[in-house]
Amino acid sequence: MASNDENLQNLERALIETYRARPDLPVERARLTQDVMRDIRQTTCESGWWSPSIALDQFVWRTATIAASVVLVVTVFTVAVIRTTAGESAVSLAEEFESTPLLGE
Amino acid sequence: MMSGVSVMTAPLGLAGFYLPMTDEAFTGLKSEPGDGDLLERIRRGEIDRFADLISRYHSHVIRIVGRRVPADRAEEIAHDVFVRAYFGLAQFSGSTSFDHWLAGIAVRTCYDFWRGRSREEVPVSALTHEHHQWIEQMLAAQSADQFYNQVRTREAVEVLDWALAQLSPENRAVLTLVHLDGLSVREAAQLLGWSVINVKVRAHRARQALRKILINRH
Repeated sequence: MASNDENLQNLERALIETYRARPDLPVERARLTQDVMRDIRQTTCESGWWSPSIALDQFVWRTATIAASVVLVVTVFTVAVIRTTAGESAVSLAEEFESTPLLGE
Repeated sequence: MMSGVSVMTAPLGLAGFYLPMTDEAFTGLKSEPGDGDLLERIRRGEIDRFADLISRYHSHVIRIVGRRVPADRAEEIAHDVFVRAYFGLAQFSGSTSFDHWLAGIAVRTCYDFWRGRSREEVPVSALTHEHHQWIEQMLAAQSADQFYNQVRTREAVEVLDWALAQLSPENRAVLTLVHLDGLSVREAAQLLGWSVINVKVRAHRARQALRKILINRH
């Protein structure tokens, strides 16, 4: 069993070495650059997409965060108010029942 | 001669192997604009400056992609990596180096490639007699010389591709990063954008799956 495991480790090691011994692929830098830039320009023109801006990204995220916080606060507040109101009405209803004489006593 | 050159590599270092986080040929000469300068100019609308970044990191991306996807698709995937990088520049905060960020995009693009491929259900070709013979040779104890001669054969590459093709895209991505590239679980998690626990569990399962494939290869 130990021997089998050792053999399997040999095979794994061989596959790892094979992977690492792979030569780099020859890809023409100029052509790749040209193709990528052409696609970028095309997409930018077609969609009216403008160059990326961290400021815009931050603005969007900050606005979304503030909006989410406001919604959360309003929700919590609303739930608290509803609970309080419901509690009060239950208490006042109970008091009313207690103060009302049963069967006209 | 070399005093004016600062090597800007940020390898994910490991004993014996590392996934290069930048092109070794690239050395940031002080006269050339740095990544930060180029990115700033691109953000200001100088789209053409992105071509400089492609030239700078071309080999870096090809090296990552070339080991993960079939050779005939490597250029196309490398193209996608750069296009994704350009349109994702707004997400680059600068907390990591640009080459590391680009490596993450490259790894995830390759992962997406295999996900798409698994949906297409491309059949995996069977092993030939030569492949089985190679596996048997590797299973048997050998001298170091024989071992290193055998790993550079065509059969070796084909067996590796065959074994990886049987794994799920997730297992393949993790196994490649952790076991083949030799990255730590944390480094692999950073590149894939997954949790460390997820990668840890998957790395173990992927290795078990690979072993099972190699044992039950007939």
